[in-house]
This record gives sequence, C-alpha cells and structure tokens, in this order.
Amino acid sequence: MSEAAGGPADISLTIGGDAGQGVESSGAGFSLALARAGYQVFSISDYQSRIRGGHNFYQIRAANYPIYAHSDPPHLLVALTEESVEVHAARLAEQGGVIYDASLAGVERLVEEAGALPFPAPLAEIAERHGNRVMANTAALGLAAAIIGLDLAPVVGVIEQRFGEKSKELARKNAQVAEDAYAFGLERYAGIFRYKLPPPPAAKPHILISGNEAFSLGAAAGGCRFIAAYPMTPATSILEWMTYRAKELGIVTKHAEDEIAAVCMAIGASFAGARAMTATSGGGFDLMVEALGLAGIVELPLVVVEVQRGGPSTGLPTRTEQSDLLSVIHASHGEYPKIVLAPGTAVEYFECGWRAFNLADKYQTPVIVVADQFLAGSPRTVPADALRYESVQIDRAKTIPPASLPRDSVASGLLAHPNGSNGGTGNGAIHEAGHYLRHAFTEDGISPRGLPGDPRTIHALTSDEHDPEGHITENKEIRVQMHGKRMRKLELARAEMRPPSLIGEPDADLTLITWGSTVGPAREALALIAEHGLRANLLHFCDIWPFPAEKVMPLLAGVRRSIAVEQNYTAQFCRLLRMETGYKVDHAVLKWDGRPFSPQEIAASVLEEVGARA
Amino acid sequence: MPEVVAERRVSIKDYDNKVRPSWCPGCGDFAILSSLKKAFVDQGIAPHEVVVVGGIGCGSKLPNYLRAYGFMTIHGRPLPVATGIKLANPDLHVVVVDGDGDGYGIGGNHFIHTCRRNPNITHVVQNNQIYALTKGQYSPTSDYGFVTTTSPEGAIERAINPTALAFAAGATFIARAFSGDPKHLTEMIVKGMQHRGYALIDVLQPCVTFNKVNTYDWYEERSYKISEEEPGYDPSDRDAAWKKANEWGERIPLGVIYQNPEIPPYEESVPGLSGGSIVPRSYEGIGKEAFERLKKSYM
Amino acid sequence: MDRDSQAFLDRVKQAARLESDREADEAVRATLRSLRSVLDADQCERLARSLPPAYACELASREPGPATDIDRETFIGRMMTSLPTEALWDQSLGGLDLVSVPAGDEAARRTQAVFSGIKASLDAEFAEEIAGRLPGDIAGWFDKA
Repeated sequence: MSEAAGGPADISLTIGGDAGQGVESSGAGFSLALARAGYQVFSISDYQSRIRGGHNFYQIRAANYPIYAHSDPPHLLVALTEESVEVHAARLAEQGGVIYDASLAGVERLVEEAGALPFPAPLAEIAERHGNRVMANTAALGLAAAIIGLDLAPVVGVIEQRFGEKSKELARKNAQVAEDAYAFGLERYAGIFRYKLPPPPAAKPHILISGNEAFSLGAAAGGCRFIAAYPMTPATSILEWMTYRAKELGIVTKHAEDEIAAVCMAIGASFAGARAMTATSGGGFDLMVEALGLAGIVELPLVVVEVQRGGPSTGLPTRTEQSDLLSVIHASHGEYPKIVLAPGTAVEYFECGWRAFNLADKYQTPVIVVADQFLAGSPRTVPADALRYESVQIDRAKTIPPASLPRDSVASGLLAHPNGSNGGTGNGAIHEAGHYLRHAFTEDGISPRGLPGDPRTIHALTSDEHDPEGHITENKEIRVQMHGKRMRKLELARAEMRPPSLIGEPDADLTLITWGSTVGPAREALALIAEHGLRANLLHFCDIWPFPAEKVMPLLAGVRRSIAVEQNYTAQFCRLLRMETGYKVDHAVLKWDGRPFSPQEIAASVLEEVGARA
Repeated sequence: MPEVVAERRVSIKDYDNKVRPSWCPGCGDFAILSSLKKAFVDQGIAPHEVVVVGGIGCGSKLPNYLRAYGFMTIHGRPLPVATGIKLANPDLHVVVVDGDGDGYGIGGNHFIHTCRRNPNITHVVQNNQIYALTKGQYSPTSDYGFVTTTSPEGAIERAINPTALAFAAGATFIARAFSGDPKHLTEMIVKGMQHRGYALIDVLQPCVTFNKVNTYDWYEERSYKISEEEPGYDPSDRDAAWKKANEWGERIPLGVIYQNPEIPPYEESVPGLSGGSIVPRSYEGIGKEAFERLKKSYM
Repeated sequence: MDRDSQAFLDRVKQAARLESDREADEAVRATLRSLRSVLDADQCERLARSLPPAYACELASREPGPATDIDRETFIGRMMTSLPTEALWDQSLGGLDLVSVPAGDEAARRTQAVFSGIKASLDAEFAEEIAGRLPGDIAGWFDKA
C-alpha cells in the first residue's frame, strides 16, 4: 500500500481530537476535497456516545484505483489533542508523520518515541490571525494538504461551500487560514514526507456518499413516500435525510414518540396504500417486533431498516457489529413470511432501497434491510453511474390502484371474477357473493390488495386468524389453509432471492464468506493474502432470507476451504448456513470489539489460521 | 346535530354485515356500534370513506362487525396506526375504537402524544373500567378498591382520569357519553368527527358480565348532561373545562367538556403533504431531475 | 313491603321460577328502569299508577325529557348485570372462568315474567302502546307475556 515509483498508491490519514472539536466535520470535509480532486476515498469515523470529551478520530484513505475499505496503518496523523498522539502515533506506518500545534508541550517527545516524524505548526496562531482559535482544524487540514501533496483548491472549495451557506465572511476567513497553513507546510516541510498522493486518475465522475445516504436515495427514487422513525444511532440519518427533503420530494416523515409508534404508523400508512418504512437499530427493532407479526398476518407491505450496532442492550451505540442477524430472521413470535436483505456496499444498499419496496408490495409482507454502522456511516466514493435512476423499478404488483390513477386495466385484471361463487376454495376469485376477499386463496398465495377509499374492496384487517374475507375465525380448516397461504409466499420469494456474488477467480484454495459490510475489507484482503502465495476468492451474501439454499449449494460444492468473516461472537451467519444447507464452514474469523475489520486484520487472521493448519 | 349534513345517500343497511358480535347480550358495545353507524349515516359518509381502527379487547373487535374499512391491530396501538392511515390519505375519515385498557393503559404513551399532535381522527374509548376479554382484571380506570383477579384485596392504585389527562396533554376536543343514552352518544360522535383535530369521546359502557359495580344504574345515577344542568357552560373556557374534566365519582359530566377549534389538525402542517395524498405518488419515483440533483449534492 | 307489592313480586317470582325475593325484586327493578328510558314522561306516569307502591316509584322517579332510543341489548343490559355470575378463578390461563354465565335467554325469561306481571293490570290499548316503544324482539316478549 505504500508508494512505488510510478505505481498505484494510497495514503491514509487520521484526524484525532476530542468530541466537540469538530473531528467529524473536518474529516468529512477533507474526504470531500480528496474526492473532488479525483481520488477514490474511503473514510471511517470513530466516536464515542457522548457530546463533549472522549477521543474521536476520523480515518481517510485516498487512492487512485478503486478501494472498498479503509486501510491500516495510516501514514499521517493530524492531532488536535495530545491524547490523539498517545493513541495513534505508535500505530502509524514506518516514518509516518504527526501534525500538531506547536504549542502542545510534550507532543514532540511522544512523536519521537513513537518513531514518527513531527510536523508541528502554529495552528492556533494562524487561526487567530484571521478569525479565531476554532479555525485551528482548518489550519491543520491546510497543512496536511501541503504535506501529502493535495492541491489546495478543492480544500478551499469545500470550505467555501460549507461555510458560505452561513456567511461569506466566515468562508473567506477559513480559506485564508487554510492558505496560510498550506504555505507554511510547503515552505517548512516540502520533500520531507515520503508518503505522497499520486496524480489523480483520469476524471470519471464519482460521488462521495455514506451507506444511509445511498439507501435514502434509492428509497426515494423507488417510491418511498412515508417514513416514521425514532432517533437511534446509527439509523437516525435516514429519517433526517428524508425530513430535510420532505417538501421537495413529497415524502411524509414523522419523528414518532417511540419505536412502537413509528412502526405502527408505517403500517397504517401502508394499509392506506403508501410505500412506507421505518428505520432503527437493534434496541429499537426489539420494540417493533410485535408489530412485524401484525404486518405479517394482515399481509401488509412494510420496509424496516435495521442498522446494527454493538450490542447487547445499549452496548456500543456508535460502533459497529453484525450480531442481530439471527434475531432479525426469527423476529416475532409465530410464523409468517419475511424477507431479509443484508447489503454490503453503498451500491447494494442503494438497490435495496427500491428492491425492498418492490418485494414488500409483491409479497405483501415485511422486508427487513439489515445494515450496520460501518456501512451506514462511512463515506466512500462510488462511480456516479453506479447509481442510475433508470435502473430503479417501481412495481406495486397486486396492489389495486386507487381509482384516481389511470390504471383501470390493472385494476380490472386484479378484480376479475366478481361474484365468484366459490372464492373460498382456492380458485382465486376475490369476490364472493358481493363481498371482496382481501385474503382470497390464490394459487401463489398473494391476494389482490384493495386500498381504503376504494368502494370495490371494502374490508377489515385483523391480527386474529381470519377467513378470506377477513373475519375472525378459529375454524381449523380455514386456519390451516390461511396459514399455508401466507407461508407459501415465503417459498415463492425464495426463488427470487439472489445467490451470493463471487469476487475473484472461481478456482481458489481458499474462499472467504461474508455477509453485509465485511465484504469491503474482505475483498481488499484477497490481494494481501495473494501476496503470500495463496489464491483466495470471496462469496458475498446479500439476500439472506428466505435463504436461497438451492442456488447456494452448488456454489459451496466448489469451495475447497472456507473461512467466514463476520462481526459477532457466535458466528451467526455460519449457523444460518449450516441450518439452511447443512454446510459447515471450516473456520470463522470473528470480531466483536465494535471496530470495523481492516483488510490487514482479515488477512492476518486468515494467514494465521492457514499457517496453523499447514 | 351536525352543521354539515350531506344528502342521505347512505343508510344504516349499507353498514350492516352479517357477522354476529361475540359480545355478551346486554353489553354496552352494541349501543356504541349502532351509534357509530348512525353517526356515519347522519354525516352522509359512505362505508368506503371511513376506516375504523381497533386495538385488542372486546370493544376493539368492533371493526369486524360493520361493513366499512377497518383494522383490528395489536394491543394499545390503534392510535399510531390510525395516525399513519390519516397521514397517508387525509381524505379518509378515521375513527379509533378501543377500550380503557387498550387506550389508557398499554396505549397510554400514544394517547398522550396523539392528544398533543392533534391529527384529525376521532377516538371512541369504550370505557367499562375493567379488562373483560381476559376475563376480569382491573384497568387504569377502575376505581380504588375495585376487586378483581389481579386486585383480590381491592385495587390499591387510584384510577386514571382520562379527560383530565387528555386536557393536560393538549387535546382539542374532549367529550364523554354513556352507552345507555345512544342518541346523545351519536351526537357526541358526530361532533367529534366534525371537529378538525383529535377528538376524544370517553364512553361509559357497562360490562354486564364482569363488572357488577359500574352498572347501568351506577352510571345513570351519577352522570348528568352538562347541556341540561349548566346551559351556560362554555367548552372553550379552559378553567371551566379543567374543573369539569376532573369531575368524577358522585357526579360524572356527559357532553362536550372542552373544545378548541383554533388549533389546526396535524396533517395540515406536514411538509410532505403539501402536494396532496401520498398514495398516488407511491406509484412514482422522484423523477430523474430531482435524482440527479440529489446525486450532484454528493459531488 | 306492602301487601300489593308483595303480591306483585310473588307473581313475578312464580312466573320466572325464581327462588328468592331478592332476585325477583332485582328483575322487576331492572325491567322497570329500562322501561323508564323507552317510555315518555306521560307514559311513565300512567304506568306508575298501575303498579304497586314499592315499584311505582321506579317510574315516578323518571327525570323529565324525551324517551331514549335504546336498542334491545341496552334494554336487557340491566337484567344481564343483575343475573348472578358464578365464576371460579382460572389458575392456569388467568381471569375468571365463568361457571354459570348470564345467558340471553335467562334475561329474556325473567323480563317476560316481569312483563306478565305488569300486563296484568293494563288495558289492552295501553299495553299495545307500550309494546310499540320496545326495541327489537323485546316487543315480541311483551306481546307473548
């Protein structure tokens, strides 16, 4: 990952400071500047569940080739506090550098003890010269740009955009601070730092986006018009994204009084015919579990996004984990069909944004999109043409459109067989003696769904077991048929679930198995593993439930040796795989410390495991 | 009687379905069901234009017993479901029917927040001061000392006062009725539905099987109509309303206790609804232009 | 209780095949109170005049105002409440397990018994007038009483 003359290169830098010092916004701004300069960027932020104090850091990786994860060790540390130096200096790459305010006594010694290069500068002084001390971050970034060889123009561009909204004066002052610090860096430290950015690649338009933002874009494009949610890290940004654009996009958003209200509002909106969703994390999802069963038995579409974080209970609110897989799959008592998708990249998450709604409408059942903090919050560059509006499909399947929409042919097709005389025996008729059968026994188990307001389809839903008309019943024949009808939908959906994607060559010594966001670092680990002479490939799962066992088993048959990589203690995906296919993964690389896997970590564990058994 | 009376294009028969209620003979819920139908008919509302949302309980089964859109949800949750329905399609009339346990107990949090949120939905609470479907436990509105299977020595908590609670939570329409006086009950339901905002109608409703204390006689002896005994009562007077809302025990007021027509219903201020109902728009994306503009904001 | 009222009570008790005075008394009062709702003030006064003193007061105590349009369920509601509910505590599933639950036909029987007692002292015209005020199938009970 270090520079080779004329070859590909990437640089990682870490910005470290206290909560309340603007580490996050500085990091995000610098990431954007790098992206605009034409680099591929992948950033992660590490912060605690508190408002002030506590160490935060933001780690940015920039390269001139596609990247899918952050990378360790970073080369440059921008230390806003002495603590940052204590935490990070020793972890830097060989002859890495540390930028810090010259007035921080004691830092120079720490830097030298760590074997790193000191890059002190009068950051606070430069800041005060033009504005005030608060702008010291900007000074630090200007200096960093000089040291790694990033053109200052994109940095100034980001500054002007960020501050310009509030005040042109503030923007100008910050720009001057950056310029001064940049000049200082060029003059004082030119040629000292060995890690420099290569020239940017030929311009192919990229966007810098985090997972939650990509999902929101996909959902909005896919017809999502209602979101009710309750703030919970790391899912809050979805509600906020939509609320901020509610009027512009015509989306009804609601910050509800609690998660139960949120999911119930989404269910109500869905009943009325809107594409509705909610978003939360593990603890909030727990509260919604009863309502999932409600949506399941009344056969309503519902999209729930569960962004996993460190558990159990309050756990590690701002950190990442993949420990809710099994609880999501089994969520709610009793049995009902549900679909679970676990996107691993921003593009997959974007696609889930609209796929989830289509699946929910088609199968008239809850669809849960499981993500995690690492995917949700890490900004990364994505080719602009990977998110195409034309690729988004809106298919409302057997929803009977309201009369106001010019789709009468769809409606009349769905409402065929009026007054069928034996609607209860499975011939698919959805009317019987003038009564609309909301839960008509159809061959595929999916009944045409009328919406409130439509005079042709008056019906009541009930959470009790019911007959095709929707009336409460405990009759055992009807119960068996109705339950079977619902569960049949699961089998139908199974055929539509995508098989895992194969990354790398089909013929390999070793196959990594991932689900969700570990695909990024694992993918990068393949190259690291290859450096040691091992051919490895990667099977990445996104569609998790109903598990497409028939499509998976042939792929597993070709695997010589499997190593699962997942972020939980009990190897949940391995268990799922075993449960659904009988396949036993050879080894699992597990992590539950709340920090995302780095490619280096995965490669090291894999090599250790392989070496141990060699 | 309602100011707005559409031409009578609907009749009670339009609301009848053949499902025989599983309520005990003599249950006050029968009167509530009839009054509800009559209230719809009096306003000229057709069955496909109204959604009746219940929770869990004897009374919550009401949507099963009339021909209209309905939704029997889960215990304590009809209010947020109803709110979601209303927000998705504000043109629908939405009426919540549940009991004192469902609405004031497990549904308490939603009750408080729906009061302050003020969506245009009507909430008919079938208050029989007991949990009947689970066969005889005390409820949030059971009076102190009420003996049940979960209070064999008598309830040791004091009863909640739903009208006072609603007032404190900011409700803009608070009324009480009695199932033994169905005409007055119908009138209250119509008034509640005509009110632009959240309307609470606490309906005293005897449970003839499990509650032998709060009976038809008990309610009749204590309840009085505000309009008859205090014709000068002004339901917009907050001080008077607070006193009236707190009245319970030997004197139980029936009628409109409080009404504030000045607060706009929630959905009128929702930014996403400025373009109309979101149901037709759920069939469309945001358009390529908006999509590209959003993408561009990440460059 | 005075002799006339006791005689009235005994007749109802016999017609309803009840064992105690108390049950019969509750049945009479429940029915009269429901009647009080469906009859207008004038009808209540006239009916009160044909009842023995202990029970006439149930109708004499009627508050002024028009008749209430109660349905047949509300009409028998009072009677249903007065019917004894025998229940044991269901210790496995919770709640009261009703051993002997008030049934609609028991309410019908007792109401009819009271009606027969009332009808005995009414002229046919007034009886028909009252029947016309009764909701649902309760009018039929009155006719057959």
